[in-house]
Amino acid sequence: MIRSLRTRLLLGVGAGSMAVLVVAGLVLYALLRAALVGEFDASLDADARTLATLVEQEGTRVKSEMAERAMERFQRAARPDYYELRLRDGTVLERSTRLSGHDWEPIAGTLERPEIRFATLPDGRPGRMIGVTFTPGRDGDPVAPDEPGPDSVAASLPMAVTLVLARDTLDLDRALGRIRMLLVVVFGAAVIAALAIAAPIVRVGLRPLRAISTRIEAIDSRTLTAPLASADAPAEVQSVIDCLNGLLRRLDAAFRRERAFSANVAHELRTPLAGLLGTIEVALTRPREAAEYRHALATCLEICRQTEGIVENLLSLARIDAGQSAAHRRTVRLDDVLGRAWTPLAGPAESRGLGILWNVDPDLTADTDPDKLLLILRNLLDNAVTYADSGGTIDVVAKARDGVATIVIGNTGSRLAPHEVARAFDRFSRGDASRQATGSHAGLGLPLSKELAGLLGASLSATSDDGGRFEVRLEIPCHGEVERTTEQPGRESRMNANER
Amino acid sequence: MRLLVIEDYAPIRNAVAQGLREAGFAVDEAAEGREGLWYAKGNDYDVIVLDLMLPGIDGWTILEQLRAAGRRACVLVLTAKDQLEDRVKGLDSGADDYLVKPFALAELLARVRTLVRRKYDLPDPVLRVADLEIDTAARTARRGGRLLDLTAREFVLLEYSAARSGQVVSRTDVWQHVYDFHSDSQSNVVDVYVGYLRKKIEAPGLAKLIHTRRGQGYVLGALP
Repeated sequence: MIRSLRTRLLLGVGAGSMAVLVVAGLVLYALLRAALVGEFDASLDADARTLATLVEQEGTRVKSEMAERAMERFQRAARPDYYELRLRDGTVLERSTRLSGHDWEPIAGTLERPEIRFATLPDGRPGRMIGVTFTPGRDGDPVAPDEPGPDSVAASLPMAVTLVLARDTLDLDRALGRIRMLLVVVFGAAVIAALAIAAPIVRVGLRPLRAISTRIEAIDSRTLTAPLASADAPAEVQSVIDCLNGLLRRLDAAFRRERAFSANVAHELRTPLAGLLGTIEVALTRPREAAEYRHALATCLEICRQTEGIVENLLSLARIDAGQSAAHRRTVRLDDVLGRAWTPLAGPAESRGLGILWNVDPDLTADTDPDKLLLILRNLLDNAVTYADSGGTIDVVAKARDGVATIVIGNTGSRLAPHEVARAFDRFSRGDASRQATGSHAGLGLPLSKELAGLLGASLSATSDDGGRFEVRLEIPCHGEVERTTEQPGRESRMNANER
Repeated sequence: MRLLVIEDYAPIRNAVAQGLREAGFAVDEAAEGREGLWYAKGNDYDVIVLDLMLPGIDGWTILEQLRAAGRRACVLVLTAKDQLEDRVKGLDSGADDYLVKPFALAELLARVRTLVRRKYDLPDPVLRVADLEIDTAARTARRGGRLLDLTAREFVLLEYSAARSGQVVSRTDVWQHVYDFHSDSQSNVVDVYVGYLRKKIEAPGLAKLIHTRRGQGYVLGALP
């Protein structure tokens, strides 16, 4: 496969023009050859007719004057012609002396329609021979065999004589050879000339491609927004440019998303970092009581834990985005996973004075990835604890119906307007232009939970009503055996945050 | 000098407030936008340290409403947003300075001191009243070259009085600029501290520098 478009075009032009010229040359040669051979034959025919007039019938004898009148051309040393005169019965009347011992293949024709064919002369030269059968004239004029002379009937029947005349075609062959050579030379030159003309045309024609590739080379991640200019590009290149511009736009959008994401990541990590720095710097400004140092260290530890949560969420998102996350399923009790998700949040929930309404069917099991489910539930519960109003209520309900377990986590005190809920699933979104909390709540919990739910074949949705109740609903495929529990509601319990 | 810190992230708010208090400022704290705006409108703060992303109402809105209400407090914006357009928008919205998180506490303190000097139109960090020299950065005061042994509260009172030297400083002014909500609210505490200060800077044989204006307050400065 030839890689260069230029070479391919040139080869195409060369092969095409060569094919056309070869066919044209063959046709031209055939026509010229036919014309020259025809001319040769006409001359041969005329000579045969002339010679025929030298044959006369006298009684039952045929008399020829060829020997006297035309012997020179048959006797000359260089390239002599050959003739033979025979009767119908095959008797040779007369022939070139050089022809003795040489047998012609029989050839027959009339004066009107002489037969002419290629033959090899006795001395080996290529040539053409003509055969005419005629009735010699009685008074020296040749007469057709079936045309009785005026007074010949009594004397004798007219006799048919065949004259064969052969002549070499050396001149003809030489002329044809010269024509062949000329055709090859001229048409070969024409092919070369066509290539020579095509080369610059192809080069100029491909110039827009080179120009485009130069411009494409100059593109980097910062110049993605500048479209490839294409005012003077030909239509074929134009469509490529349009496609490339579309690609550039998509790339630019992707780059923008990435940059925004990185900026958000940096921003979210800066806040806890600033907290750490500030706390440590203040602690170090002067000698302090042990209790003050302990307090500062506890603050730092809490910040580190929050930061760790952000980083974990970011890594999980990155792994999901890179397609490196797979669900490792096993059978788990939902009530157990919910309990483990709640454990680290019990303290914060208590300190915020939140009431917990826990209504979880203890028999629910599902085939799912317990780690990912735990991450989802912890994020959802963490959000609920963070965004609930102080002294508000969090309710957790898990029930099953038709093989689908529904876990609903609701909290009071939401500041999210109903129409803003969809945006809560955007990364780094916090519902309004200002934000609801800092630290571990980098606006990653809901988007990450949604991605994780997708991995587990579960669905996650959220609603917010005007009364300030925010609710997330996780629907996850579960085991059919729990059907019965839908009729008998699970234990419902109201408890303080720290009981769980 | 009295400051307000509006920042929702507790570790930063606590650290900044403590750092500023230990540097001799009276500091109030607000963790939420509305609360912060209410404080800022209701008191004559010298400098407000303002986070931009806040629950409730954001920093831009607080800045806007503060300026609309005619409050002249210098505002130091504190934010994790470091894009050029954010910085420009912050300054154009009426902020006086901009500090990107994470920041060094020392820089925050220096910038706050600079904003205080700007508020009182004092280009020199060393305030001079007669033969009194008050170094606001080193937190030291001398009279006639002799170092004065002042408590933190006394120094702050002297610093504020010196910043307004030649003007009558009322008890309310002192209350507004030297004390924060943490301070105990004994009504005579201002007079007590002015008395302590007078004793320390007016050693026997030196000219009086604190002149009482009955019913109005006092003036710091040499009498003409």
